[in-house]
Amino acid sequence: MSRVILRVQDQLQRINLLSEEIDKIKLIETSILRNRPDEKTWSVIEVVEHMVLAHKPYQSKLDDTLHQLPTATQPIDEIKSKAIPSFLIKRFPPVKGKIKFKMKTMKQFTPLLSVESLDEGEINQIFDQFQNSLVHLNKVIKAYRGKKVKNIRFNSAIGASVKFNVAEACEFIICHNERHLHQIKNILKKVNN
Amino acid sequence: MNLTSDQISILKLAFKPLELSVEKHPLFFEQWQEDSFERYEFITEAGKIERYFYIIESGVQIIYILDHSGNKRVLGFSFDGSYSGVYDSFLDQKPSSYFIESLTPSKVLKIDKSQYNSFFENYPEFEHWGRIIHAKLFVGRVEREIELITLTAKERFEVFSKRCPEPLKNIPQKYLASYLNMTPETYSRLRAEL
Repeated sequence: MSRVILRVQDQLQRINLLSEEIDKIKLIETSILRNRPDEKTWSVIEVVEHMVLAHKPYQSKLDDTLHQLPTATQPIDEIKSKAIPSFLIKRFPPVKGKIKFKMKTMKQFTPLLSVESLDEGEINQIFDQFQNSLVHLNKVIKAYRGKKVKNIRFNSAIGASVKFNVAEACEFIICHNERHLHQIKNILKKVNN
Repeated sequence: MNLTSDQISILKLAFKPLELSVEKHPLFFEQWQEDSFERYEFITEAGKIERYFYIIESGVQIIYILDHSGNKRVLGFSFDGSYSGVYDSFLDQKPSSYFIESLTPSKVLKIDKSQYNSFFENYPEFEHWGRIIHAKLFVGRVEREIELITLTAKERFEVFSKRCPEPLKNIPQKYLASYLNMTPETYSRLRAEL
């Protein structure tokens, strides 16, 4: 199985794109952001909250690991991902506009918002938290560029069955966010119809 | 900010053919701020808006875009005395398509968009500079496009070698190869043949 090449600049560019798109979505009317298209589907703000929750377990893992990694003599812009992370990363992107590789949301990442009662301030706070997670990711990527990332692997949020190095974890989070941005766009289409 | 005499000279040279002086153009010289970047530090990231227009005091910077596979494709370089920054992003305040990275430690002078605009608002002669700089940029891009389309790899290498500025002679060959749209191996072979 071919392994995915992870590139620092590609990851940064995608984070910046996500940030720009989310900034635009933040401007949408509150009632639309709170609206669930149907009982089983999350609202936009729930998806954003889910992305915030999904980032949290990685925050300290990434920071701690970065701290322990030895410094590289030259910046390393390309890293070959291991087989299992590659398998996950390749299946993340939507195919022809549809998400083929379904993943069950773990309980700890399920947003427990009282959507109807959220006011504009609370909604903005969730968006800000998400932007902060992107800023964190941006800093981690720039930092790991100067480190020997392959030296340390840690358990993913899924558990010990999937282990990541820092670069793979960043890619996983970005892919996860991109997938949910796609979901947000689909929710907005349904809500606006 | 109080500029040193060297910084004033750099700015005067960078804005030729204008004859700028501290006495006649105080607002121009007051606006610049110093900044510095470490080796391999990103100055501008693709997807972010370029906030500044830079004049490089010292150092070499590279501008590149990512292709569909995420590989870097080098578009150009900036070095001592030249402009830097993603100009289209700066002018339109839209996200940049390119990265700018400092290949060596860099010292720069910078202004933001409102400061840049204030030069045009306060000094009519900047319209003349604007016309000249945009014409130069346009002609430069067309010439490069023609070279990339019509010249062989060997010819591109020879043309570039003749005009290669001194600061670029010590940067990694892979960047020069990418700028000339050839593989590092081809670049290395042509260099050996020279």
